[in-house]
Amino acid sequence: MIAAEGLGMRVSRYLGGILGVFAVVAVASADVVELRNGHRVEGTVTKESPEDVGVELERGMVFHFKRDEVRSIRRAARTPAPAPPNTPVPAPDRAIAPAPPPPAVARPSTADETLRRLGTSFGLTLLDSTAAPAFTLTDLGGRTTSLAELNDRPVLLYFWTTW
Amino acid sequence: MPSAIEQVHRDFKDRGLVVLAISVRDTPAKVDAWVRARNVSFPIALDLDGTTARAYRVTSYPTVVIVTRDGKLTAMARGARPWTNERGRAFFEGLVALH
Repeated sequence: MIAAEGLGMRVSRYLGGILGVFAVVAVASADVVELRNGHRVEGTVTKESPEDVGVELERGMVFHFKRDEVRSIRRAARTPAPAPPNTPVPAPDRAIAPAPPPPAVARPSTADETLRRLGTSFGLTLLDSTAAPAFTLTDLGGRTTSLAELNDRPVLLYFWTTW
Repeated sequence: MPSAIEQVHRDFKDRGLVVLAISVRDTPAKVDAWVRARNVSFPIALDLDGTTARAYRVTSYPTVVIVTRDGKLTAMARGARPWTNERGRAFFEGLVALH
C-alpha cells in the first residue's frame, strides 16, 4: 500500500510536468473568456464547473470567475492534451450554461479584484478606478501624444524629473 | 531612469502595455541629454508646466500610475519598485490579460 501510494505520487508529478509544459505551449493560441461586464481575459481555461471558471495566464497565475460573471468561453484550436481520467473534455466554441441576466448596477468583476490583489501584493497603492485624466503632450521628437490615442491598451505612466 | 522600467517596457510591449515616461517641468534639452546617456527605448513626453502631473496628483518623483485598458486609474507607486521581480511580473501579467 505504501509502495502504491508512492507510485501514485510519482505519476501525479509526471502528469503535472506534462500539463505544465502544455500550458506554456498553449499560450500562443489563447482561450478567450468574455465577461458580462464587458471585460475579456485571455489565457488557458483550466477549470469550468457550474460554480466557477478558472483561466491560467502565463507563469501559473490563475483568475477565478463566478459562473454568472462569464458570458462565454471561446477555446483556442490546439492539439488535444491527454485528459486526466474522469475529466470531461469541454467542446470547443460553445457558450457555457445559461446564467442569470447581468445585474442592473455594474460591480467589479473578480478579474478587477484579482488585479487589485496583485497590485496590493506587490506593494502598490490602489486607486479608485475613476477615469484617468486626459492629457495631450509633446514628445522629444515634437510629436503629440495623448492618453486618448492609447485607447484599449493598459498604460504605465512614469512621472520623473532630472532635477 | 531605472532600468527596471525599461525592462517592463521590453517584456510587455508586444502584449499591449504602453510605457510612457512623462518628464515634469524640465527643458527638452535637459531631458534629451539625460535620455541619451541611458539606454531607453520607451517614449518620453514633456509636461513642461506640470499640468499633467498635477492632474494625476503627483507630488514626488518618480511616481508610477497604472491605467487599465478601459482608461481607469487602478494603482500607483511613489519611489522605486522592483518592477521585474516575481510579484511585479504577476501584476503586469494580470494587467495585460484583462481586456
